[in-house]
Amino acid sequence: MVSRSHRPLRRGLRITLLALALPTIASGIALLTNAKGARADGAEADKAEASERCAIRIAIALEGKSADAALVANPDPQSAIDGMLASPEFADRYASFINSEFNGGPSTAASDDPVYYLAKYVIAQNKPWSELFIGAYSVTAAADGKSMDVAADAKGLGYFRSASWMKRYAGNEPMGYMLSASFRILSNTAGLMLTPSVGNPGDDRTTTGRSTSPCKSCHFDDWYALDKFARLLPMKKVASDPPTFTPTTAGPQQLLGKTITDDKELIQTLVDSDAWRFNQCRNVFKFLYGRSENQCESKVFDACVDALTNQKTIQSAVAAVAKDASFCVK
Amino acid sequence: MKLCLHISLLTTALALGSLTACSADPDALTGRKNAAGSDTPGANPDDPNATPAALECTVKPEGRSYVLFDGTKLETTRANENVGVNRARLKPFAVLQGEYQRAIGLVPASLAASAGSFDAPPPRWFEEAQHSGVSLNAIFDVSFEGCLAYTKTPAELATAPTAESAATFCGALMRKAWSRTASPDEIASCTNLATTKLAAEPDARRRWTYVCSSILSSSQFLTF
Repeated sequence: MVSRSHRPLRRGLRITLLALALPTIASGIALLTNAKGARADGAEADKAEASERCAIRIAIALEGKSADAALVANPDPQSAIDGMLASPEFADRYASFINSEFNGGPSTAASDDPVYYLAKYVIAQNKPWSELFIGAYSVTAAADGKSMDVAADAKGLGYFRSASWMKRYAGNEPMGYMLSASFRILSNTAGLMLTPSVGNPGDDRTTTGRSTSPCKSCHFDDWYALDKFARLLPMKKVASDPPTFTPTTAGPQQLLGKTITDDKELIQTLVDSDAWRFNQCRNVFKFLYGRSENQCESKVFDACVDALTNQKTIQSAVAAVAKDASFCVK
Repeated sequence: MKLCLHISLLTTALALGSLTACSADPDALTGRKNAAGSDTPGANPDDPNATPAALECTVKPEGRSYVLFDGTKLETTRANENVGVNRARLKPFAVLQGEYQRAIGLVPASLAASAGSFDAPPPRWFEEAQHSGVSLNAIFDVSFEGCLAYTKTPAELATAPTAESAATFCGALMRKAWSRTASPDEIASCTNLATTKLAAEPDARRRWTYVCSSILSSSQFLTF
């Protein structure tokens, strides 16, 4: 049972950050709007200082490390962005970021993090970002159990068919419908945010109960009707421990304005949508800025979407935002 | 006694870091009335979470529209904020080694051992850096240790700060640590710390160390 969330983005974190960052934010505003107020000498920030701050920002944001002396001295630090995007540090950092966005919490076992390992693979191999979701790969635990291996597999569907991910999001629906996995698919592709509803003791949580108000809208009526999505996914064998799965027998479902026959067509439809492009570029902004894009940044956002559409890689999308002059404005 | 001075200096460091905000309209960033009940233009008493007018986007570009499956326009979820607003992020613990090296030319030995005071994310995971009272105290301790070494040998730091020498020291270190030239108000605050608030400290080099530590504990150094 779920209800639509109006959860502000990490509001608690934002407030904490804001409290500590007030002086710097104020300085940035002052620089932009009132040079006299920000600097008593009335001078604009000198270019060397601006370049230095930009170098520090892009090094931390892209690679999670302090800018080295050469970058700090570089009069155009944004010219180094392409090199950073090709580094293993960026692949690790963005894969970790996406792993945290696409999962409810960290995994203690490296062999249970298919999102991280496939994202890192897609970035390192310069593959289209869509392959994280629809690529024909298997993601399995490495022999030593300390990582996961990515291999070509015609039966693969991004990380969604990896045994580890299916087990994690199998859920506890009485018939074995993977409602949790349905939500995760929608959240990770289209950015859907829902808050689980606990319900009351004795509530009917079966399909019959979910078909009545107030559960009906999220489970059957809205565009993200979770039960309909779940009918396209494998079903968990009830009471199997560890979970095992059987193919669905529910048949095609009317979803997303069309008849969809299986999970592959479902994910492909989501990845082809505006919502997927929007959500991936919103993630790019969260990665680079620590927050979503704002109204003043719509043009840069559009450039991110264009890069993702035309060049396909997430590196190109990140570059479109990080190379824009506004990224180094403070 | 030293503990009291330590706490006092940490408070001063935070106050120094907050100087810019405090010298401006205190409501400008939050949209809320301040403690004195000032009526700031742009503040919205009906919606304390609303973006104050001063921070709103002044020139909204004509961006494209993105439609969800139910026809919802996704761009309507964007905050009404200006370019350059809401930018400061806390530097993660992992970069502090390089930041100390850049600012004072050395890495305090205790930095690595203080990792437990910071909530570093687990492997393969990402979390926005946050500070707690514990981590801020650790920052000051680590900075103090680094600043002890930084102030140990220069001849000009063998004597107690004067208004002139403090202004020079503060301005130079702020420029390095903050990657920008400090404002006269910021330098005046730092000078006041060195010459007045720390007057009880008899050891001249230790006074300089406290001044240095306050700069390396400021929000300007801790954000990027």
